Amino acid sequence: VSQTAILAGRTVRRSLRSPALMISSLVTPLLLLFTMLVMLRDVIGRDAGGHDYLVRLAPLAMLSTATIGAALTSADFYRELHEGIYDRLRTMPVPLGSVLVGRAAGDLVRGLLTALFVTLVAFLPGFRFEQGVLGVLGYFGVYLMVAFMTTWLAILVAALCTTDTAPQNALNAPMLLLFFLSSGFVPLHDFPPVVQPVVAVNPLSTADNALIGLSAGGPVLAPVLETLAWSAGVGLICALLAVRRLTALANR
Amino acid sequence: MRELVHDTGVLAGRNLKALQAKGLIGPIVNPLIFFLGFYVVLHRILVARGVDFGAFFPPGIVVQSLGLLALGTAQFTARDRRNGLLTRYRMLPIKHDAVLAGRLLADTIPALLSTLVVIAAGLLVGFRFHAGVLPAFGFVALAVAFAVVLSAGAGAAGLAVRRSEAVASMLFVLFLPLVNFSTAFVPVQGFPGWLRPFVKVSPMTAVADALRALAAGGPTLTPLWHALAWLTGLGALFFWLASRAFRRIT
Repeated sequence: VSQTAILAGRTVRRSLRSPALMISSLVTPLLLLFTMLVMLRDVIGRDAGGHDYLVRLAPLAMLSTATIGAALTSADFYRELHEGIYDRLRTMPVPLGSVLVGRAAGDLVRGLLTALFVTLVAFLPGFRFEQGVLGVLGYFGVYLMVAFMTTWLAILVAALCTTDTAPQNALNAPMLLLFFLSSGFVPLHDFPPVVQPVVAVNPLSTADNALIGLSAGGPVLAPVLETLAWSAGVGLICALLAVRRLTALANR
Repeated sequence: MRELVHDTGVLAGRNLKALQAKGLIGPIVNPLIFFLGFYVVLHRILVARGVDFGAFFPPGIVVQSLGLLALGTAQFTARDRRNGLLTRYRMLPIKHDAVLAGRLLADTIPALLSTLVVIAAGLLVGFRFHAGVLPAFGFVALAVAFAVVLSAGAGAAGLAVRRSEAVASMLFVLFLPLVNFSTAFVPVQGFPGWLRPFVKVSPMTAVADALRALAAGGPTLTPLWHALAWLTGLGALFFWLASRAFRRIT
């Protein structure tokens, strides 16, 4: 456990030192928050629940730190893999599993920091928590679920890629589609009927619904469970595959 | 002059080979993703507000996609600078303006591809060239010219800044509000009152509206004049900045 913590700390420090990584994983969500808010607040108006557009958009902006972060994390992990850091770690008595868990935990901590910051900034145009302390804790808990999923996906993609631009190319497009096809962008009933089923099951939609419930009010249990299922399912599968792939690479 | 043309052609050929190696997937796939993404998000909302979606939407995606594409030039020039290629160019007996011109000439190909892809996708959602053949060519030419002007700006930034990853994210930070606070995706009336003056004078608005006019017909001269004025002004500024940055490298 302490090894994992040390490796996690290393990842956090590394990202704090890399301004491009932090800028991209913070500035883009903030830009999305403000530009989309100005562009669509009047156009979309209040939704069926009487919520302002910000109630829907602020959680999505926070979640986008995880989806945008995935491509960046993946590229960064790929670089680390091929800088030989892990070769050096392997010669020490550190199990591969704890190396990867350390990396993932570090990415989650960094993600949580950016999520906190984006949410704080969202207070400026009027975002508020109205469901008490538990609501706030649950809000960031749901963020961690989504980030858990995207982080392990990022690590798996980096482990599978063979060129340094491949991780970002592989992740950018799917993550962008996930973002567009979520009900955090516009309400579900404003999507064309053909894509509504896709929008409804999109993990970003279920997470956004849960986050709306935990901040402004509304149903919480069902969307949280849906998000948890996505997170546990995709996250664990990616984690297992990543460990297998990297073990195979190490024994080659 | 003949030398300049010849050198430009040779350098453009080299840049195109580099682009090919990187894959021409980006200029084709990325606009389609943005087209699809913004389509599903905006279609019902804009139609409900009485916007003629088929005529309005594709030109906005052209502006957005070509803008993003052009930002990539920053990374190319930054890389050429970092690995010493530009320094070598300076030693060679070639026209110095040809280096920049060759870069921009090569950039027209992916820009053209992206424009055609968006037009093709637009035809599916009701986009038509009502104004005729000549304005249709004008549409494509204006789109490519817009991309080349932004490429010059991105290229200048790539030459001026040492860290190539940082350039791309910085330019993106500038570009995103510019394109979102324009009529690329939402008509002027959709914006809050305090922002409308900014939206109206934005170069992105000028280009998007000129593209729309060239396709739909109707009063074309005023929007076209606005767009050309912006592109000429910005083009002159960016080209000057880029050639100054190039001279400073060595």
